[in-house]
Parts: sequence; structure tokens; C-alpha cells
Amino acid sequence: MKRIFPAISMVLIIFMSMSFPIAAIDLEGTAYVIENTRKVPIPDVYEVVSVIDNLGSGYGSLNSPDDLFITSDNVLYVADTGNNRIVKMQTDGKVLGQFMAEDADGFNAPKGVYVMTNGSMLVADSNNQRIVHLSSEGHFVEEFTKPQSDLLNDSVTFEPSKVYLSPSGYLYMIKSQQFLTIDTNNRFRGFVGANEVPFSIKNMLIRMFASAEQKRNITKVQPAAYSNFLISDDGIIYATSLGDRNQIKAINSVGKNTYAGGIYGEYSVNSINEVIPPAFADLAVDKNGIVSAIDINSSKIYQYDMDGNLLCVFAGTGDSMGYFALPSSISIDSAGYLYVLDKVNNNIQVFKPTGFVRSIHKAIRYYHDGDYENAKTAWADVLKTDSNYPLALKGMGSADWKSGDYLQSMSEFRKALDKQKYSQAFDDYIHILFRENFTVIVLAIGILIGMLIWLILFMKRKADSLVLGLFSDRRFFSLKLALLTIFHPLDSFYFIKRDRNVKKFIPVVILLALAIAVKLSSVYIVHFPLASVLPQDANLLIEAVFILIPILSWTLSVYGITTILGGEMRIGEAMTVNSYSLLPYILFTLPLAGLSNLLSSSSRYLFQSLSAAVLVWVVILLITAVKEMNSYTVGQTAGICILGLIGVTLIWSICLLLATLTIQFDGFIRSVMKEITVQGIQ
Amino acid sequence: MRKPVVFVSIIILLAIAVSLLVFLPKEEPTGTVPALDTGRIQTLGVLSREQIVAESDRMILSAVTNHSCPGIILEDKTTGETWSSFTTTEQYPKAEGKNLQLIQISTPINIYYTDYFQNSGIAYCGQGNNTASYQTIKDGVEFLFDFPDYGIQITVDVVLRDGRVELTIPFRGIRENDVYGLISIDVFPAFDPSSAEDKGYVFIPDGCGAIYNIGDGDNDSKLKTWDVFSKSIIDLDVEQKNAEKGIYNASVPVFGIKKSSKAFVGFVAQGADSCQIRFAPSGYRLDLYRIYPSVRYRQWYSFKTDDGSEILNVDKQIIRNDFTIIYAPLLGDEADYSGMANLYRSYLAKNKQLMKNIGHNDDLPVGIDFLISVNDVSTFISRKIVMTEFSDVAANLEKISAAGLKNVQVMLYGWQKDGYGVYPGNGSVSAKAGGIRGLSDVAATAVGYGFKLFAADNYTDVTSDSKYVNKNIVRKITDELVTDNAGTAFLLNPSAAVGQFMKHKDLFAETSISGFAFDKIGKFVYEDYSGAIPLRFSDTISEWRKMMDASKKQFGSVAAEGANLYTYDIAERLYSVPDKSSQFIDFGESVPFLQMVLHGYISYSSEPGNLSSEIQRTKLKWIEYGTMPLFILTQEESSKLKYTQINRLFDSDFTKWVDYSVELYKELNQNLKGIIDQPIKDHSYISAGVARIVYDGGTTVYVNYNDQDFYIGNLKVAAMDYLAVSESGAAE
Repeated sequence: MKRIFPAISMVLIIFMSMSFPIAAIDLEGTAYVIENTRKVPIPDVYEVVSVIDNLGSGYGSLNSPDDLFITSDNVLYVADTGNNRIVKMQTDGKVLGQFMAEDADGFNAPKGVYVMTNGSMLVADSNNQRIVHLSSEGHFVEEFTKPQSDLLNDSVTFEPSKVYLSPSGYLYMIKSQQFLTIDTNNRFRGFVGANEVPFSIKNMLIRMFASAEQKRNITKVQPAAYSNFLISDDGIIYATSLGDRNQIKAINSVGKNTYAGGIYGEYSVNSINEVIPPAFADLAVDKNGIVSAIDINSSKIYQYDMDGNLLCVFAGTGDSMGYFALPSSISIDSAGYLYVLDKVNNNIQVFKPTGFVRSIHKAIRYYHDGDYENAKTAWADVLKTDSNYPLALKGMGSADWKSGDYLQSMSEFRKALDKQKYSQAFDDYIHILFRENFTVIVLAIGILIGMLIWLILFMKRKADSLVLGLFSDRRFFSLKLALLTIFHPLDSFYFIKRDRNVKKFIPVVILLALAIAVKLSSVYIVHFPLASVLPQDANLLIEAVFILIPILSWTLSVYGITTILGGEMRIGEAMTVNSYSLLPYILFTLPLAGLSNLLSSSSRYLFQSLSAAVLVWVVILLITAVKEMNSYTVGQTAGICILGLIGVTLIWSICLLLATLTIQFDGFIRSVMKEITVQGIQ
Repeated sequence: MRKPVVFVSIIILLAIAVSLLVFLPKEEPTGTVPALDTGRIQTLGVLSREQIVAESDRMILSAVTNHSCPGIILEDKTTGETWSSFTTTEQYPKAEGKNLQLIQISTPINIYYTDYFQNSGIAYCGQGNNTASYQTIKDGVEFLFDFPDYGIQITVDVVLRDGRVELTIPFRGIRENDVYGLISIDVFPAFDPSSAEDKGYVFIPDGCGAIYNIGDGDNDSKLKTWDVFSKSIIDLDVEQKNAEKGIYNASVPVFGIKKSSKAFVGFVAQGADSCQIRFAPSGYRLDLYRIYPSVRYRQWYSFKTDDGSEILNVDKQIIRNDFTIIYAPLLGDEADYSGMANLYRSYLAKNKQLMKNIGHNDDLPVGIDFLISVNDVSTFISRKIVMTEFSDVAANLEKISAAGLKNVQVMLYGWQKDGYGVYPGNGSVSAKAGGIRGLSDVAATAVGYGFKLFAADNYTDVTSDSKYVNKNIVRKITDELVTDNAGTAFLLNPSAAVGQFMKHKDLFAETSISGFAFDKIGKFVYEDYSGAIPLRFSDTISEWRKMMDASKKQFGSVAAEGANLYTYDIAERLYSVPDKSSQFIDFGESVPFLQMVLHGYISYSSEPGNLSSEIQRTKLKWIEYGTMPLFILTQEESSKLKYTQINRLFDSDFTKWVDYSVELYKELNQNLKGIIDQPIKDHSYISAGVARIVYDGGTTVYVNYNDQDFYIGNLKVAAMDYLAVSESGAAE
């Protein structure tokens, strides 16, 4: 039984991966960005220029270091946790000093270090439950311990892991899901930036239905804890927290998160093949607000701009330069070099930005300064190196949109897969088109509507004439039946039943094939901002399955139930009527897809409503078919349909189980064969 | 009457069949070697004192015993400097009183043995019952190592030749019993090692070459191993990951250690395809830095059990290889990686393993490659995206010729009917791109302008979307297909690959292409157990060489991807040559060793300029490494490739790159033309981020990667720029 669930998971994963063909592929050794769950490789963004690992004679190596701090004049301080010391060094790794607390306690696993402009240090002496203030020469100045306050009862522990001094002169440290602040007189000044418990349906249901006792027995849901933070010169707290969304925050002076909400990082697969969410351990913020955060689960570095747009992902797990065993801290110097501390390899890798990422940063800076002209030039530079870089395409698109070149901007937004901005540019383009050609367009629409009405009336008259004379002339019988299904479905189903001795295998196959073809074609035709599946993400098998599986399983289910419950329908008839019921989908999907090219995201409800109407029409025809083909009452029909839906669920479950068992059986046979082969070799 | 005739006929036929079975040449026997010869040991003596066994004008080779292990000492007569296969307790006092360490600093070989039931181990000479005896031979000494507990005997000949030590392990000298088998031998594992106090480095043939600065990584105590040419156990997912991460094997079987003013370089001259180069840093068993080859006699293989765990086992069949390893001493100015490269280049050239394909007056070669079409699998049904039609290629060649580009080497990718990435093909040309006639016209155009045009093809990979997948798929020893986790990639049997190529090349008989460019064959070798007789690495190399020979014979030229040694005497162009090492932490300093061996002999290219994240930096790297400039271009915008398998062609628009490439070429050709045919004599970093490259003719090139100008006396090397100075001192 234990192995059934992994096997079911595998079936589901295979099924899901058919709809997202590339997303599952990891890119190793290549920087990338993520576009609609797809990883798109980009040119190199950083290169490792040095590795600081051997500190030289008298200093040995680092030992499980936890934190890294770089001063504005590019001096590195490392909280060398395992060695109970703070190491001060140049950016080339030359050690300038090592500091232990000079008091009786010494340091005990210091996990955080902050350095003031005058060079004096604040050290989070975690296991000694204090913050130690050292002078710039490393002499003990004072210590901060748990402050006395009614708000901090005995159960509140004081084990500072990270520490920062705000511009207002308060000491900030992480206290689980919030920041605890004290002043320089060791007085408690309050909690800041509390994380919230995210909304969850499960929690809501528990709150609604669980008894008081049950609620007590359920583990209390805690908000995500902070993992690291820094405070910028303007007093913004940039922090990383665990959890699966909003893991990066920029908390302003009133405790409000001003950074874009969302999911940062990616899920990764660990060594025992478990899918795990990202866990950001630390972040570095450059002078322009560009955030680089390290995920300890994948050992990757994710870089975002000040609006939370992903700029690049690089690094990973490995033993060569540019890869980590367990990154614990990241910091940035004034030249934009990133320094990443590895807690297992006990080293610091220094990453130099390439020209490509420098161009990206430059463009973002211009853009945020409102200098769109220079931003456009900088984005053009980025595109010279990577003509597919999404943010550059968006940047160019925005610039072209602002200058009124809507067609060009639409093309750029289309390449960048930005539906929202594409729609805005499209709306402006259509608006101008209408304004300039109003008379012609209104006339054309009028003529089109007129022609459509004429066509419908013409077809209706044809259909009316067929009600009485269908069997008198059997030429194009199937086509006539199709026409009747649209305008007189009851008559159509009656004729199918009456004509039950004539096999209709070919029309069924043609109708199903047409439905699949329509489904596939619509993927290409539907206007980009309204498309639920883009051509590059589509999969032939999945699209066909979306048509075939529902109709076939419904047919089988309803036929089975009606057979038991005194129905008159044969399996061939069931298949025939259900295939004819797909006619509205076959006839109207492509015109709707064509119509969508005149619509944008802002009018997507019209498109969605019309598409839903077509599907409702199909469902009504399917239900009508059950009633007519079995001569049921309305009540009986409703009951059969409900049972039919249950039957469909049952069929799908059985299929899933069979697939699972087949995979298991296949695995068993393979392992037996392998065993025999290996024994044979030996 | 008839019955006797039939009977006699049957008898005759049976006799013929039996004769054929008896007298026809036998195929490779399965894993047996001659039995032990105890009498032979008695005829050889036990070395009890140092004995000179060979002498030349410059060198003396002596045989000696150190802690019950025989060894050799090579002595320079002029300076008295010595290189020995062992370390004494005077040199390494830490071993005093520690028996295992005494053995490890003395042993000339370690063997790895197996009983084929997952019990394997290591045995040292001088350990337990293991003994060694010797006899002098012409110019040297022959050792016989006996490992009686495992029934293994090994003969090793060591001779002095051209002032170098030449060590040979002939296959005929291997003896085994029926219980144990020999897996591999570490050869001279303590040859002239270095201690942490020495100033110098270990040279490792990782990628383009890497040096491990002695004393750099004091906490790394793991043995590091580099397979020569290719991984010894093929795993396509690992291959893919390594390719993406830039993890390399050893393209040349060379290793060395520099200590102050002396150094040695070792290289495997015979049997390199079954070798590994092993680097034992200080902390691994001994506090010494050692580098040595390990020669393989049996192949490891792995299989996954039902619970997903992987089990390693050893093939019973023995690899019937002779191995020769040469150790050359280096002194003074030659005692560095440049000296190692110079010596190795000279050796290869003298032994015709490296052919000169570059003429004295040649212009700077430049690579302008075109992607013709690619198979797009991102949509419902795979379709071909034509990125450059043949007529576009011809027109573009006309443009670059008119702009002044000379000595252009054009490579066409994805010219096949199914486009780039679908292998194997059937040799037919993409009709959408212009068909064979279009390709023929391009080739004629290229030849007309004096360019070379290669048709790139892949005869190693089999992709599941190929229509021409056949039975010739490579299998493991367990009879499983070699494939990736997704089950979409396979390998083509090398013999079948040759067969296919021989057919395909004839389709090009009427064209004037310069030759074929073979993807992967210069960096990837594998074994195949699908047939009755397995194809070994050496067999695969032999098949690759057949293909290259055939291209050269029919079309005049051939190119290969990678820089494995076995391509150097055939290929006229090597592409995707590693321009960095694997950059393992502590092994990170890359040096252009491969380039120093190749420059002046074979044109080689590495990263295309239009794929780099900083073209100026790439240009400087080209200049430092003597690499030909390269651009891979398309007529269509590269955004069309975004959802294809070659989505790393970030920007390839010909119209965007043509002006830059022409301008760059003119500049480089003007400044560097004179050194195209000259070997690189010396390479060093004279300051952080500043490289100095000295060519045979005396020209020196300085490359400055820094953001500040750099001065050498009165000469200024501008920031992010280079300077070529002729022997007379004039800047070019």
C-alpha cells in the first residue's frame, strides 16, 4: 500500500508534465529566468572571481560560519560561529583581525554581526543569549541581554541570531515571526513587522466546524518565521522569511510591507526526491534596491528588482566554483560584487557581475528614475546580448507604448508573455483604429451581423424543411442530421433512434476528430491575452484527452446506468448522439477564437461568457439526448445524469488505479529481469 | 547408393565446421589471462641496493629499494637534481614508525582487485606477503610484482629513453588466478610528490588545464579523479549535467608537479583510453601532494536495484591493453606548466600524433557558423523551423568576403532534413532550406571565396524523435539500453555510426564541402555491450578515427568537437575546445595548457562571441588562449528559438553581428596574423588579471582584464584591452 501512493503520484506527475512540457526540466549550470513556469536560459550573470577559504597562518579556516557583513568601505566581517569569533578581512581574503568577547563568557556560537560606521561591532552571541558590543579594535564595550518588560514574560527566550542597528538608534533582532527592538539602554521598544498567518481553506474549515476541544488539540498555526534581515540607510527593513509566499519583505517605518507580494523562489527536489518549497536564508540589497536572496534548499541565488520582478536565477548545489554545499549568508559590496558564505564548505565565494547583468541593473535604475529614454537605450543593450530577455522586452514595450508605437510594443509584450501590458497596448491601438476608421468599421460590423443573421435564418429554413423530409432523400444524411441537431435537437435524436439499424461509425469518428482539430486549432487562433494555453505550452495528447475522455467516459457511464435502469439506448446510439451533441463546440469555437482577436484582457468576460455558453449548449444537448433516447421523464433524466456523473468519477478512478498498478507491475517485471541479467553476468 | 553420399557429405561438413571453430582466429576470451608463474619469480633477483640500470649524456636511471619496495631514481648529471618514484622518511618524517604510511610513500604500484562478488580492495607492494623482484633489461630494469594473496602478478619495465623515464606495463606480463581479478593499477603513486612547504603547484589535465597551488586548500582531503577522454561509466544524465555545468574530463593524459625550480611532467603514451589521472591532495592518506595515472583492466558498471539504490560491480572481461607512461624531468625556466606543454607538444609532433595544419602566411582563421534549421518540439507536432536558408548563407558569405574576411571556416548546423537535434538522420538535406542543391551552391560559394565549409553532424546520439532509430543502440553490460531518465536520449553503436556515415557521405560526393564536422567525437567516448564482443573505448576511438579519415580522404578536411588527443593527427579544426577547467573549488585556476599544445598546429574555437555575456571579455579570452574568433549566426531572429532545444542561442541575428565580426576580424588579423602558425612558448599571469603570452617567434601578447590600465615599463596595456609586442619590442 505504501508504494501505491508514490505510483499514483507518478501517474499524476506524468499527466501534469504533459501539460507543462519544459517546466520540469532543471537548468543546471545556466542562469535563467522563469516565464510562465518555464525556465528560460539567459547569458551568464555573475562569475566567481575568487574563493576565500584558507585564512592564512594563525587564522586557520572558517568553521560553520553563519553571517557575513560588508561595510560601506568594503571590509568583510564574518560571524565564524563554529570558532566562536568574528573575523575581519579585506575583500581579497586577507585577514585584518579576529575578535572574541574579552569577558569571562567569550562568544558561544555567534550567529550574527553588524558593524557601525565607526567600525564598532554588534555581535549576536546566540548561545549566551546576549548581544555584545565590541569596539572597532575588538574590545568589549557592553552587552545587551533580555530587556525587562511586562510584555516579555519568562517564557519569551532571548537568543538573538541576527542583529542590526537602525538609523533611529534601535537594535533590531529576529524574534521568530517578528522583530524585537531594544534601545541602547537595553529597554524593550516593541515588536515590529509581524508576519501574518496566510489564509487557508483548511484553517477556515477547522475554525468553522471543529469543536473547542478539537481546536485545542490541533497544533496552533504559526506565521512564517523570519530567517535574516538587514536595514537600509533609509530605515527600510529588508527581510527573508520561511513559508511559501511573501518570503521577501521590505518593511517601512510603520511596519508595513512595501515589497510586492507573491511567491518567491521555486520548489525544488531534495536528495530523497521530495518536492520542497524554497527556504530563503539571507538577502543582500544593493544601493538601488535590487534584492539578491539565497535559497538553502536549492542553493540558488534569486535576484529581484525593487518591484519583485525576477531578474535572474543562478548558482546551485555542487562542488565547483559558483555552487554551494549550504549557503548561509549573502552580502554585496559597493562595486556590486556578491559575497556568499558557505556554511559547509567554510568559504566565501566572490561573484562579479557580468556586463549583461550590469546592463540590466542600469536599465532598471533608469526606469525607476523615470528616465525612460535612457532606460530604452539600456534595455536595447540587454537585448543585444539576449534578444529574448523578458524584462528587457517589457521595458522596450513600455517605451514604445509610451511613444505611441503600439504595434511594436504589442510585439514586444507578446514575446515577453505579458498579457496585461499587451492588452493595454492593444486597447490603445484598437481605440485609435476605431477613431480613424469609425464609419468603415461600423459599416463592416453591420454588414457582418446582417450576413450572419441571414445565414442563420437560411440554415433554420433548411433545418425546418428537413424535419418532415429527412428520410425521403438520404443523400448527405449525416450533414442534414447535424443541421437538425443545431436547430431541432429533439427531432435529430428521434431520427437517430428511429434509424438505429444504420451504423453511424464514420460520422462519429469524423465528429470526434473535428472536435479535437477545433480544440488544437483554437490554441493557435485565440488572441494571446485571452489564451488559456499558449502554443508553446500545448500538448497534442492533453488537448485530445480533454475532448475524448469526458465524452467517452460520459457515454460509457450513461449507457451502463440506462441499461440497468430500463433505458432503451444502445451503445452505438449513445456514442452517436453524444458526438452530435459536440456540434455547437465544433461550429462555434473557431469563430469565437477568431472574434477573440478583437478583444483584450479587459473584455475577456465577453469571450469567456460566449465560450461558456457554447459548452452549456453542449451539456444541454447531452442531457436532452439521455432523455429522448431513453424516453425518460425530466425527473428520471435528472437522476440518470447525476448517476452518470458519479459513474464518470468512478471510471476515472478505476483508470487511475489501473495505470498505477500497471506501472508497478512493469517496475516489478523490469526489476526481476534486471536481477536475472545481473546474476547471469556474475 | 545415395545414403552413403549423404552420410559422407554430412561428415565432411561437420569436419569443416569443426576445423573452422578450431583454426579460425578466436575472438576475445572472456576475462582470462595466463596463470601464475611462480618459477619466474625465482629467476629474478631481489633488489637490495641502489643500482644504476641506465645512463645517457644527461641522465642516470637507478633502481633502488625503499622500505621493501623497489623504486627508481632519475638523476640529472649536470645539476645533481633527482626525481624518484618514492619518498624517503628523511623527506617525510611523519611516516616514521607507521608501517602503512611507509608503504604508501614507497610503493611503486597499488593494485585494486576483486573477487567479482562485490568484494574489492587495494593492495600495496611491500605489504604483507606481497613481494617484488627485478632484473635489468636494456636501458633499464624490469620489476615483477607478486600479490600471492590475490593470485596476481604484474611485470613493469622501466627504461631511460631520450632523458625520460618510460614505464611500460605489458599485458603479457599480467597473471591472475581464477578467484581474483585485477581491476586497476595506480602507477608510481608517490612519484616526486610535493609537501605543503614546497612552493609550486600540481598540474591537472582538467578541461583546458588547471593548477592546484600547493597549500591552497588545507582542508580538502579527498582524492580527485579525472577520466581520460570520457567518463568510464556512461550516465547520460550525468553527461548532460556536466556539460551544462562545465565539468570536464582530461582531454590529454598529462599530469605534473612543479616544486620551486624543478618539475616533472608525466603522460600516458599508450593505453590512455583506459586511464584516469588521480590527484591526492595533502591530507589524503599522506600529507603530500601526489598526482599519478591509474590504468584500468576491468570496467566498473552500475545497476539500480528495485529500491533505487545503485550497486557497483566489475566486469569479468579483462581489457587487453599495454600501458606506457613517460615521466620527463624539467628544470629552471622550463619547470612550469608552459614547459610541460612545450615538452608534450614536441613529443606529440615528433611521434606524428599532432599534425600541423596551419601555414606560415595564413590569415587569422575565423569561424562563421550558421544554424540552418531546428526541430521544434514545443508544439503539438514537431515541426522544422528554418533559421537560415542555404541561399541566405551564400549571400552572407558574399557579404563577409566583400567586407574583407579571409580564412573563414564555415560550419553548417541543422542542415539535415529533420533539423538540428534529431539524430540519427538519413543523410538527406533539408528541402525547406534549399535541399542538396542549395547546400552544394553554398559549398561552391565558400570554396570560391577561399573559405572552408564543414557540414556538422552527430553520429553519437540517438534521439527518440528520429525516424531512423534502429537496433544499433548502445547497451550496458547488464543488457539495458543506455538512456537518460526521460528515456528520450540514447547512443549509437560506433561501428553502426561509421556504416551510416559511409553511406551519408556519398550523398555529398557532388558537393565541394571541405569536410564533415563531427559533434561530440572529440570529447565523448563510450563502450557498447550490445554485440557478442563488447566495443571498448579503444574500439570506439578507432571507429571515430575511421569516420574522420573518411571525411578527410573524400573531402580533404575534417573537424571534431572537443579536444581529445586522438583527434590531433587528423582534425584540421577543433571546436568547443574547453577554455576553462571544471573550476572545482581549490582547483580553480585555469591555464591554457591544451591551447599551448594546439596553437600553431590546429585551428580551434571555443565559446561563440555572440553567446557571451560580455563580448569584450570573450574577445580578450580568445586572444589570451589563441582561440579563433567564432560567431554562430542565423538569418531569422533568435527569438524563434526560444522554445526549442537550442534556446541558448541568445542572439544570433546575422545582420546585427556582421559589422562587429568584420571589424573585430580586421583588427585581430592585423595585429596577430604573424603568430597564427607559432606555438605558444610561455604563458603566465604577471599580475592579477593580466596575462602574458610569449610565442615561439618572440612576439609577446599582453591581455589586461582589469578596469585599470596596466604598465610594463613604458608599455601601456589599456583597461580591458590587449597589446601585441614583436620581438623587436614594437607594439603592434
